Amino acid sequence: MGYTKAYTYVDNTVLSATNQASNEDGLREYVNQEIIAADIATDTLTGEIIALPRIISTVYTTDFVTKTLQAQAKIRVKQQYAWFTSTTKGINQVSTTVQDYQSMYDTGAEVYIPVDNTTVMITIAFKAFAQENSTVAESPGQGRWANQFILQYEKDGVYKRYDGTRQYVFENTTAADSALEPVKTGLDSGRSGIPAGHRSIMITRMLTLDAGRYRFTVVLNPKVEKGNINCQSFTIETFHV
Amino acid sequence: MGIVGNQYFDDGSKPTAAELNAVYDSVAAGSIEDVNAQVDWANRYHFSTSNRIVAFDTFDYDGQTDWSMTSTTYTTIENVSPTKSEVAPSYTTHGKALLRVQASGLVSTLDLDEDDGNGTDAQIPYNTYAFRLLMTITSSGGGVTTVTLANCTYSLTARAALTNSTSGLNKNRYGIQWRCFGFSGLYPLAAGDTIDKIELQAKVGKSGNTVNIRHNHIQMIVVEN
Repeated sequence: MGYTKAYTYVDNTVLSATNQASNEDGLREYVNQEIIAADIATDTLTGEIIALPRIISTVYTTDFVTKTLQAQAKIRVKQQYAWFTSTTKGINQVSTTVQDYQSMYDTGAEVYIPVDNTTVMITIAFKAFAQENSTVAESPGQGRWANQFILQYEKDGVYKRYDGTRQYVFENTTAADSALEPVKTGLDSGRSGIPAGHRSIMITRMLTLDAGRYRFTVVLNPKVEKGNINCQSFTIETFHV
Repeated sequence: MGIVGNQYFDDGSKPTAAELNAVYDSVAAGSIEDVNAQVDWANRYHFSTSNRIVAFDTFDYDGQTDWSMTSTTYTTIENVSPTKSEVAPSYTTHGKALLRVQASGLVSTLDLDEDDGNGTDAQIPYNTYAFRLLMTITSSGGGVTTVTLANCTYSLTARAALTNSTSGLNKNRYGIQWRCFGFSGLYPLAAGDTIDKIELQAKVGKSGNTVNIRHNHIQMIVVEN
């Protein structure tokens, strides 16, 4: 509420302690925390009154008044790869159905959401590369092998994947194009070589999250012996007001 | 409020009611001004969560159904009829505001009608397809207009659409499939503008070419201050 004088002084009237206290209390509360928009003249407040952000470099976080921004950027360290492999479980490399999702190092951040129904905007850009397999020929049935990326978070030990964010990079095979006619079903990268094995990928997702701690990351179901991504940008924006 | 004065009393003096009322009346009648605000005082606690300073909207199609894009004019993506890829926030700005949009998705399979062209201006469309975000907006005066907020163009094959090479005109098998698309844009809104809808649209450059669109997404953020 705006400020209203609690007690009006009158000449020749004994002032009670209660009346005096009510006026001073009203003034104190108003000045401390009850100033409303109607009390503020138009265009008189400047941006410098808004508190500066807290920068917490160890967890890639900048905490603004209105928004928390968490980000990783490797675009200036082009050799900083997060590597992946399908050979940690042998069946992974010859099966068309097995899923063995691995969290990609150096992607994502841990987010603390203070209140329910908070909007979070996630924007990811990374360069993915998948080398040619050395021992197993491409294609368990449908052209080159598909390495699938998905956005995932962990909260309270429970994992949630957003399947609608799936993206791919394929084996960077040098097999002749003539042998790789696209099939109309399944996953086939189309063009062989660099167009298949080097992909620039962008994932955007707006989420509404309840209060809690979330650990976002990119996870991958690998189908090649060696591959890597360079996470050029991974930003999580949490809008507080 | 501005600058509020105070009264000076001597020991033993008897203040009048007018003198005592003066400070409180001055606070009640005035407004907070720049001189009353210290640097860095406003923190998150002071902003209302029920009267947000930003507006959001999002669209997600996460399914496995392709939308077959064959038109050479921009058409709104519609994987499963009648749900089009669009947001309809019906949001009216309070003052000048900045609109931020993003879109992304997955292109599944491709089909080239002939080849990817010889690189001449006339044949650039042989090897291109494009996306755009189209906003329909009603101004405070009632006029309805459309605005292209952002767009992006991709080639179907590994060759650049603007190449002047005439050798090795590629065919279907060389198309780059299961690839990502993504783009973003900014647009300044005037006070009283109403965002009716923002559509994610796509087209192919050449009639006969087909590009199938799988999952796709739109995000909209209006920043009012």
